[in-house]
Amino acid sequence: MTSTCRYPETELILQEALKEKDLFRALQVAAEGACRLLGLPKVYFARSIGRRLHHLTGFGQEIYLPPLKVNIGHGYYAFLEGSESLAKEKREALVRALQEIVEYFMKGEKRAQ
Amino acid sequence: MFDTAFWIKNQVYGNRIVLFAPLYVSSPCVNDCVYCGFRHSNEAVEKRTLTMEELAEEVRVITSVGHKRVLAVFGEHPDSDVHYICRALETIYSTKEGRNEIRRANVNAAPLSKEEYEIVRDVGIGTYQIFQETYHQDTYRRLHPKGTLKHSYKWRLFALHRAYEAGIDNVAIGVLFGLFDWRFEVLGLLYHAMDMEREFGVGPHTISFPRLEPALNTPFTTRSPYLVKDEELKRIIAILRCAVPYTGLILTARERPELRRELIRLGVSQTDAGSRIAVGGYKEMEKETIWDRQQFIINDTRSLDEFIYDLCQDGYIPSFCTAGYRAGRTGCHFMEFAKKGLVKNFCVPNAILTFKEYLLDYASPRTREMGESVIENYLQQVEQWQPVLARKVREYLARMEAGERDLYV
Repeated sequence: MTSTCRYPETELILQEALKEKDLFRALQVAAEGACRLLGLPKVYFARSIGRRLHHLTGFGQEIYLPPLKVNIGHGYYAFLEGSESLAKEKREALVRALQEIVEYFMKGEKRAQ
Repeated sequence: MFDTAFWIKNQVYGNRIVLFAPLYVSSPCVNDCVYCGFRHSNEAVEKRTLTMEELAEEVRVITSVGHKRVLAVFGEHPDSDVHYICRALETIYSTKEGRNEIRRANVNAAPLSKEEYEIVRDVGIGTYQIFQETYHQDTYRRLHPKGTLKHSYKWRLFALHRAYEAGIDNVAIGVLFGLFDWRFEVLGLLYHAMDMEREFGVGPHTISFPRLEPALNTPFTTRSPYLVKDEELKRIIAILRCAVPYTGLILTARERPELRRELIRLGVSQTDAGSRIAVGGYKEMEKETIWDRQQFIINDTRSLDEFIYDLCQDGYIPSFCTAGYRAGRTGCHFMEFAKKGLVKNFCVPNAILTFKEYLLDYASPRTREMGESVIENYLQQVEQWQPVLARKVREYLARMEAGERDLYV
């Protein structure tokens, strides 16, 4: 069963991201927030173009281990490195926040290029 | 210089060689390039455009021997326009038989407009490759006659700039060595790479350095005063490797097996194997050369398995990796690792995993035996510099033994 818990850190990531003018900037802010507030070493985003996951933006230091790849909607993917160090509920809360960010901007059609 | 080039290659990518198959999809061409067997006026060579059914048949043959990536090659002709290219790429990606599939399709085709690149981009390509042929403007104009699309030097020179602007951030450059003085051409390649870096912050994903080879009814290919000797080609590769350490260097089956062995050691990171370059040539695999359907001749017709065996004997690990562009490691993100010489942290593990897949599903008994020891050797290397990663790779290898496929880091 998927948890619906909310956490101050993921709420802050969401709030800060939604202040941005477009999805690209919002994802940048979210990546930085996830690293700073949740201690993830690196978070980055890509857009699905056929088989290609085209890099958009990200933050943090590479750890050279397979990242957790998560579909956050509308063809966008998040890559969370070192996510196994996060509690499952917190990880799920982060993913929900990222999905909300994409949904918010896609409704307004402020796509990340 | 040769030792330095080899050292640089191993520092950046590790001792892995990525393998691919060239896939000639169409040969009719509106251009009349003096050196090309497919030139419009060359009636000695039969031109063909594959139907999607014929293309799927070619893909089935290519994937049945273990290939996972192709370079799809298209002529410049209204019959193989941007919409045909997209249909072909969709066919390549969707043709699957059991575990056989193409996971990355790179494209070698004519320069497009920005709007056309956007259409191709949306199919999900790997790399878009365009060779300038020669950077020497007078030679370029002489070899690409007036009245043809290819005559415009600048349209071609900035072709990949337009691709970047259209959102294709993995592009590949190259020269056809033998058209003009190789020293000038090397400098042209380097300036091209520098300009892409300056404009977009991302240099070329790969550089190719094919040599002019004989083609049917194409006398220029043997008479050019600028044909490049073996020793000169070695210097070209070493110079490129030292000058552009982060970029993949592609050697082709144009070269003889014994020379390829020497050239690979100079910093090559990718090469084709088991190649057939006639349009529809894989369906007739038993014919090493179909002289009147090829753009030029190739000198290494070893099978993929033979080639892999020889690579292993020389201590390399063959790789069928297609992870980068499926893990968001494209454009500037890829360069972030490559420029620091850290991309081997992905390349070597993914070489191990994809080579294991080859050994399990396609290899001959002798290659399997040799390959397993190569894998163990490389795993021990990874254990020394990234023990946590090595444990993950061992876990993935066990899952592959149990039947899973397409695992990558």
